[in-house]
Amino acid sequence: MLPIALENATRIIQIFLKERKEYVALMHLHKEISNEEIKKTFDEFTGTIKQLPPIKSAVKRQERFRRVYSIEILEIEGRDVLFRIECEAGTYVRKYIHDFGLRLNSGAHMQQLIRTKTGPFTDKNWHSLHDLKDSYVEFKEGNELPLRNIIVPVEFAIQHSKKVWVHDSAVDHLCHGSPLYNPGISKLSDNITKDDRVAVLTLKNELISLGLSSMDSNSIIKSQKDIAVKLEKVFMPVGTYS
Amino acid sequence: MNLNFDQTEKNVLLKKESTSSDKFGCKPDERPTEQLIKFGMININKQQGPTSHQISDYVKQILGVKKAGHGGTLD
Repeated sequence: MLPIALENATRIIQIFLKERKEYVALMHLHKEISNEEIKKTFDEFTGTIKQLPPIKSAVKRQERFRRVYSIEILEIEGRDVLFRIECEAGTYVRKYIHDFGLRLNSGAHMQQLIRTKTGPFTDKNWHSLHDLKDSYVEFKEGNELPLRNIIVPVEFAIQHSKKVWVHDSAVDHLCHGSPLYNPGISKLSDNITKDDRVAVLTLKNELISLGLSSMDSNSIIKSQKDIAVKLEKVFMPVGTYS
Repeated sequence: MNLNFDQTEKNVLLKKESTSSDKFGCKPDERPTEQLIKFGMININKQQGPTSHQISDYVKQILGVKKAGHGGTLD
């Protein structure tokens, strides 16, 4: 699955880079291994694991810790093991499988990998390119419903993020790139801590910008001046609220 | 899909009550389709075949948008 953000929403993609991921992977073992031993090894390979990023990778090549939140064995057939893995962003599944094979003294490699979850996007709410094309044609012919079932508002992506809601009067300043000052705020999540990334929304729940909080929720409530949120990215076009 | 965050979330603190004017903007669920295309996301079923970059290009072509960003290659 591949979440794609369109036009003015494009830059929302960066918030997915740090989200936990879920994949279904097909592992091929190089020797016959009993089901019991496979299960035992998966138990060992759950929780905090140590990983050396592959040679071809976007990050510095040094051992690092990654969390594997859960493993579910879907099917074992001979030397092929199909499993679901839920892991921290930046976990290399190909490498995970390679290390799994080393642990068993058999060797193993990855035959196939499908991502099944990134943030709120899952294999339950995905669509094919073909369906997108058809629904766009239908939209052009006057029926917008199929297309509206495929495209979700950008706000879908920040549903689990920490949020602040601002008064109408603050919106256009934010669109122009101003930081958010405390008097502009109407409501906020109660669990914001300093330096958290927060989504800045209108009272209609439209995404205005993403920013970094300068203080925690209680301080935002108390403060009558000062910057509450430093701006990172603006999404809403200037003039939407003026 | 429920994007009525303030009603669904219990853990919201009120600083100063106010309402939003109907003159500006609109709720995400009510965004007109032309606007939704420019301020929306699509979850594409990617398995084997084209790269993330190619899929992203197809999506741009189909919808006639200039920019699109994809959620990364597989780790």
